[in-house]
Amino acid sequence: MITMKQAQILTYGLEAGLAGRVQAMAHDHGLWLRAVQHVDACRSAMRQGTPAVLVLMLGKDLVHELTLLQELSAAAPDTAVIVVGDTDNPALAALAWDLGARCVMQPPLPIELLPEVVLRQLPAVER
Amino acid sequence: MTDASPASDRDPSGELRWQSYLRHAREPLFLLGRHRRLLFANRAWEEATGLRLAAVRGKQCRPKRGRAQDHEEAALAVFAPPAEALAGQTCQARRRAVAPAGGWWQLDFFPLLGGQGLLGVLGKITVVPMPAVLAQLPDRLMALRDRQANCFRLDSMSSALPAVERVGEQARLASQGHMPVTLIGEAGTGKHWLARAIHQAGASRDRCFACVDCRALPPILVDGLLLDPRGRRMALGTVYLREPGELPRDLQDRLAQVLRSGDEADAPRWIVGHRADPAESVRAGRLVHELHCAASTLIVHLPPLRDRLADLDAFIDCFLARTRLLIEHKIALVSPEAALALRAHGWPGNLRELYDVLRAASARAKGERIELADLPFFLRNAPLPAEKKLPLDALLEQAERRLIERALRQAHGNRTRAAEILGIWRARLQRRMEHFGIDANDE
Repeated sequence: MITMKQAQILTYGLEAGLAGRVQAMAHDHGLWLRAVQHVDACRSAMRQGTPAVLVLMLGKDLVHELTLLQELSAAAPDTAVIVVGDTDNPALAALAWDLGARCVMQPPLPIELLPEVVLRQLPAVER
Repeated sequence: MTDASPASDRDPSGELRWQSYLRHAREPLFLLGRHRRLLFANRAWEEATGLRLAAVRGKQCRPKRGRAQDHEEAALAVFAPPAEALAGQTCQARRRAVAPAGGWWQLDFFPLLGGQGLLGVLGKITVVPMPAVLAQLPDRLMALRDRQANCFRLDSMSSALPAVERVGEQARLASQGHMPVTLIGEAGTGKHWLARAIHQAGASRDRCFACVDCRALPPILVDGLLLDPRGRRMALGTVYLREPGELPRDLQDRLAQVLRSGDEADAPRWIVGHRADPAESVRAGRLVHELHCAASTLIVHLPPLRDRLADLDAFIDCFLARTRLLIEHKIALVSPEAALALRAHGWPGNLRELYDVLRAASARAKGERIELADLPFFLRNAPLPAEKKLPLDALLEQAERRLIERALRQAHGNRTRAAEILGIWRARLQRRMEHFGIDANDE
């Protein structure tokens, strides 16, 4: 079990099932999670305090979502951005890696691994 | 451009020579004024674009907003300089070519600055091959790649420190080839940045860069990305592997085979990063020896920040600019007291720690500069470094001793000759030799 003093996970645009899995993982490990559905809300949350992990679901507003990814990788390099897509799109995956994603998960990669991937991004800090 | 130049500066057509040079240059060149109006373009530009300078001279090159008014306006939008160029920074952009043949261009923008600010922007077009997988992306997404690329430029790594200069030279060498590179440095010394900068300066910059943190990804994902044929559809140009010793040994073995073969035309270039000495990791059994050998054609050691304090001011400027992407602030300076505290710190977390400190201090600062009170407690209360002493007499005696020993060697122990070499009386040489305990017979 990884212990954290102030872990923070921010999710953007996740559908209910996937969000539930990440939420359950966060609860099991005593991690604080916040979910937003709009890019502006995501940006505002980042200004209040950069999270350790941002799970960024692509699809609603590609240009703004990927712009956010690029800005975060430049201004908050310690925030691990995990990009999630629901279709197999090599071009978008390549672009997401190029813009600084820590991991890109889209079919055929098993989405069930997402909670584990999120957990692995969190630095282990001993109390 | 005046008519007052001597006739010898003109070529037979009457143009000033430098204009003639630009007009006849092989590379497509163009010149924009400070308001982005097209002032000049050479013949190569006309051939590349299919536009005639006479028809478009004086028109503005600005980004497309909604539907373009006409074909020329749409074509000239390609030459709109990015915000970085208008701010005075040399930069590049990849844009879809205006030419009927299609394809992609790399546009290099060189701002021309005068005493009053921006005078204009000189531009150059280079045709670049874009991987098919990326060429299908919309222009606005491709523009994000350019913005990202401009954050990683090897020429921003200038330093007077020999160790950093050496790193820069090695990085430039690495960018000119496709050989695997190993980067070694403490956490936070900039290995990721350097890997990306090498990628951006190299031939593979038109393909994508992927940073794969072997500590933070399940092995199955690493396998799928790097070794599965489906992963290769992404046309990765460079893969930066962080801490490959954290991968299972069988995966390391397979990666070593891939690195050793490396003869596929579209294979990515590999850069590997280690915090600790990889040779030690091999001895400890964490890192497979074959993988380390295959990845270390070129090894680059990055110095820690405590050995780069001469560059601290440049880092502070760069990081304060970067924090403005997240926090709206006008901080551009650090007070002298705060600068002293920053310089006194040992920076065990290196550049990453410095960035975190500056980001937090920017958020706390009330004015236009970071004060000592804005820094974290452990920096505010650190003891200031003791003033460095320069003992003049001791240093002079050391130099004198070395010169005497050298003169005696040159004179093969002959004191008379040695005194002549030093330009002093023999008696004085004798006295100094006794003072230093130098025996001529030992020379």
